[in-house]
Amino acid sequence: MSLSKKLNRWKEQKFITQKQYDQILAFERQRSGNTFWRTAFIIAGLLIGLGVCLLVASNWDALGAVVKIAGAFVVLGGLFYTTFWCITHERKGLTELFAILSFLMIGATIGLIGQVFNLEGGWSSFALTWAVLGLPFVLVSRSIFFNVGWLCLFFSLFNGGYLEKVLDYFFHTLDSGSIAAIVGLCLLSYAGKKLDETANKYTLLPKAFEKLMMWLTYICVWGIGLRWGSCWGWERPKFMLLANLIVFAFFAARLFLAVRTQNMTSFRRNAILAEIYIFILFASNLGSLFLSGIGFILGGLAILGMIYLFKRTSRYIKTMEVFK
Amino acid sequence: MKTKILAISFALPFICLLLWTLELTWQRSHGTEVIVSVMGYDPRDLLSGHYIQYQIDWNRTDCSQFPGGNCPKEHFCKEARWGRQCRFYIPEKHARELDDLFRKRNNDTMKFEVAYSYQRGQSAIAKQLLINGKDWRESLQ
Repeated sequence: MSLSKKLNRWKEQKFITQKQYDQILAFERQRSGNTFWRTAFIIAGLLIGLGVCLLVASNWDALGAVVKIAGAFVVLGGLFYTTFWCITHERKGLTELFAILSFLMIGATIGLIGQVFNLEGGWSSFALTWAVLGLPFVLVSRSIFFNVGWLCLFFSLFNGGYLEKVLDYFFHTLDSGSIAAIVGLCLLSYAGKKLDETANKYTLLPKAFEKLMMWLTYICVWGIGLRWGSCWGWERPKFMLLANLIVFAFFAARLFLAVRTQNMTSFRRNAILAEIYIFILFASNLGSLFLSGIGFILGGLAILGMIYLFKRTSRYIKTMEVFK
Repeated sequence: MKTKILAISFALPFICLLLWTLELTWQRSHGTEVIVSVMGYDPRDLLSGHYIQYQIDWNRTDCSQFPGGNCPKEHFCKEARWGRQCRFYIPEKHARELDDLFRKRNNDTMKFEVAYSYQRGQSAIAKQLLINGKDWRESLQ
């Protein structure tokens, strides 16, 4: 239901006065407008910044090395100053745009320096320099995706070999270590949440950390479920029960927490994810049927059924006593 | 106070990058020019993106250019799994032509070398890619 409809209903019920009606509407309109502009600025910043990185990568030889380096520093200085000006003059949307542009331009400049001086440093030295020098611009940004992006860049420093080992472990092993990893990720996410409560005023990094850890937890849980719990995974009789227990225990915990914190959105999201998982479990039992004509029809019908089920679930959750 | 911290935190990355560039420029311009012979470790994979990957062929390099007549191998290129790996960045539009030239080199019709700026005890900086003693741009024409 749209905000104006809700407000009209509240006004008719005399929950709010005409003055409050106008104030709420004006406030929400301005807020949603800010979000729109901010998002537009972030997308524009990303496109322009990535374009500059691509230009640098193409190593355009029409300009000499000195001109390219000098040009990069002039642009960099200009961007840094504009970001500073936007912050001091409280231009929130423009701050996002120029913070992202400055951050990407730092990466492009490091790339350019590497190119001009034929430096052999690998990804880890590039990423470390970029992450450290770009940190001030991440700290001033209120975009969660920009902050998550920085964290991904920072974590990429821990070389691919380590990540490979972790993924290898998850793919080939299902034991107490897998459960400990999920619990560990949840605890890290919780720590990020707690830190965010005090640091949110200054930076979104703890919040981004919380989100990233939670997304990783979901990826791990789903990975375990699909690899060991469904019929698509091999060696299934051995670990099927344990894998499904882990997945459902996780969803149960998330639903329980959502009820405790009165977070209806989280409850609805997790309920729907659990439904999707159950659907996958049944679908995996049908083997290669989905590759046939009948399978396609069944698949389409199943999706329609799922949509109906999700709508029913959402409607039911809205009427639940615990959220009243 | 808050504005000052903000200004300093924004100025620092700029200064760091500028100092780094100046240091590299100084290192490049004040080093002794040495020429080393290069070889590709895999002709099909010589051009990755917009740089040439190569290894230095120390057997065909004149070590008398270096102080003491010893080739300081540890100051050239970066250690990788398959030996010391070097890079020379080239413009995108010449990538294919250079790749073709590297392939021809396998028949020993061309000699590839890289001119480095070298200072004792510091990493050498690649300055110029030479084909038969000439700048690679001239050879492409």
